[in-house]
Amino acid sequence: MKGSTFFKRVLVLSSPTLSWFFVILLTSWFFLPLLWMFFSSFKNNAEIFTPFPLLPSRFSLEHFRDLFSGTWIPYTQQYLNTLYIAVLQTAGALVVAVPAGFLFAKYHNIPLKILYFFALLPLLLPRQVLLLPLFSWLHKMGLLDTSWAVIFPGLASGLGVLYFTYAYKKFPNHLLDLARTEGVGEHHLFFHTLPLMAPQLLTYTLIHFILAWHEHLVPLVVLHSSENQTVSVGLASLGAGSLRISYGLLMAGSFLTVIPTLLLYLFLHKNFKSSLRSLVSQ
Amino acid sequence: MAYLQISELSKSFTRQSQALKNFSLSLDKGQFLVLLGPSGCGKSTLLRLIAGLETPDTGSIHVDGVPWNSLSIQSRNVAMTFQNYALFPHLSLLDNMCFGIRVRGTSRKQAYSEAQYIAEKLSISHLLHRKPHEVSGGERQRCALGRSILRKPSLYLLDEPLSSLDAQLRYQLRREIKSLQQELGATMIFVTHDQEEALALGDQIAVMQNGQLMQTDSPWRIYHQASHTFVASFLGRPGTQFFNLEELLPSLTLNPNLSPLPKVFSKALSPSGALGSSLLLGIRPEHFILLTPPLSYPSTLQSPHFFSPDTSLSPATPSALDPNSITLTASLTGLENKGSAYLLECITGKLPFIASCPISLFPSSPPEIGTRVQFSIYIDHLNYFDKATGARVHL
Repeated sequence: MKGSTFFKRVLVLSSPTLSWFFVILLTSWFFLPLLWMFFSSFKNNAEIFTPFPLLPSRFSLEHFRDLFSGTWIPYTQQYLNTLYIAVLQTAGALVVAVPAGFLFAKYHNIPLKILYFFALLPLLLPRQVLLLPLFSWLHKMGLLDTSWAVIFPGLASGLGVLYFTYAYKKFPNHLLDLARTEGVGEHHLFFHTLPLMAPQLLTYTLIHFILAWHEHLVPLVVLHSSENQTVSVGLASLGAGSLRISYGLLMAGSFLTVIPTLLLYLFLHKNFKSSLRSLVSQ
Repeated sequence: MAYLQISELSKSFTRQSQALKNFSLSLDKGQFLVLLGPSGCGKSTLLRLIAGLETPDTGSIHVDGVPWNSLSIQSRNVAMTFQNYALFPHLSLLDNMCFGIRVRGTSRKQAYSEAQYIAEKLSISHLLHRKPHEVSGGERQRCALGRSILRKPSLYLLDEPLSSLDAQLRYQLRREIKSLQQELGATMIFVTHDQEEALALGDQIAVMQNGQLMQTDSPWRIYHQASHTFVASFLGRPGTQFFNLEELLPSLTLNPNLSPLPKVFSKALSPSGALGSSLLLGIRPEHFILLTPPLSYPSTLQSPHFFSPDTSLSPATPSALDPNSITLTASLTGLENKGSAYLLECITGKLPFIASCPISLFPSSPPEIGTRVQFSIYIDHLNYFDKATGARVHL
């Protein structure tokens, strides 16, 4: 039968050797640009435009030296700014989103339903739409061109609320009932759930940190001076600002920028996968 | 006033259905009450109302004379055990056991030493530093029990604590629970849908159906003197079978020495059979006593002895019937081996029924299908119910 031969073909295709082939193909698809970026940061500007050979003829740290010298952009300062913003924003977003998720998942009444709708609204609206009112608010608050102008809007994370609402929906109700009957007051209940939510907390930390670290639009609009700027905007200005673009510098800067998120992922990826899986599976 | 007094308790979650309807119950201190019923009958809802996890729509709960409706969960001092052995997975068994008393302000040192003592009684003291996922289901449930005991609650609420365990362990743990309850003099409410558990554990059994209390009584009375057809059919495997009295009569042989009908039948059928046609006769499968086993005994063996209250030493044979029994003739249509007993599927007239006969009656091979069999039934074992309401009728 036609159907069964097709099925057999699929089976043959999914044999271990072939699946390895595809895995390697896909991995290199994603990994090659990263590798190219890494090696390019050691190449001279002429070499960069010939992607192969991948390896530079001579490993030169010139671009890194230029980057940290501050002649082009205040890279070190911008790096520290970004770190400061990403860490504080992530911590703040957790403080807001985790209890909110707990409430939305475990308590049911009409005011909460309305609030939930509003909490998720930012996810549905394009961010560009929100930018103008945001700018005027930040201006009135006198926060423009400070790190808080970037941290503040990121605290109200629709994604975080959605994530923790679903994470808490999976949280067994009988453990809450148990805590209640054992004498835990309703207001302290939330704190007893936290140790059990550790994998989800770490996962969301990773997600939010990566998003905050790479945030481009908000800093571009609300931060003006280059010493208050974040790396992603700083690097972009490096590319767009001058006629004579040093691609080597861009590669070196980009490579260093990727490192924190890469490290975080390496440390947390096991936990990341399992907690994402637990969100979809029963 | 009883220790636990529940009056007219009602609760509904949706407009269409009531989870609990006008439920009233009283329980003395130190008693073991089992709430028995099919799933969805409102047992767990009742337990959650007592614990304070739900608030009743109407009705009241009093414990030791104190009205509980207005008390918060935390001040009710109940200890609840859940079906899925609710333990905090990130805490060791020791910390799980101490959870409640630590929340209530006992120092860590004292809590640990108390827990150690209880753990030894429950024989889990060597596992105290393990996490719940590192121990077996039975050990987890023991830990949950230990946590309840440590709290010294005014009420123990156990919500199907044994239903996730295998049969062997259930049997073992339920004996332990019973002896613990007696040792502590604890007032326990135990929810189950397992009748065996209910009959084995309860001082009192409350049978529930559709949010209503059908009967509260001692296990013996629940089993033998059910107040409703539901209770009679729910207990027993299989449960009580019901016959229309006038349909069954043609198949019955009555003791020839006893003429005319046994008192109960004459009463039931007169005047002019009106009562008889409104009655259901309830007979439990094990109350059919097999008189003519469908097998040939070795000639050296007498037919088996059947005991009756007054002729306990003389063998009862079909020809010399006990005056307190009736005889039923039927033909065997099927057979199910239950290990310790055979379930004989029989038909008499047009009425099919099932009789349960101990396997010891059949020393060699099982009886053959199609054989004619005769059963004797003690009149005391017959129960009468009203056909329309299902309520028990006292004759």
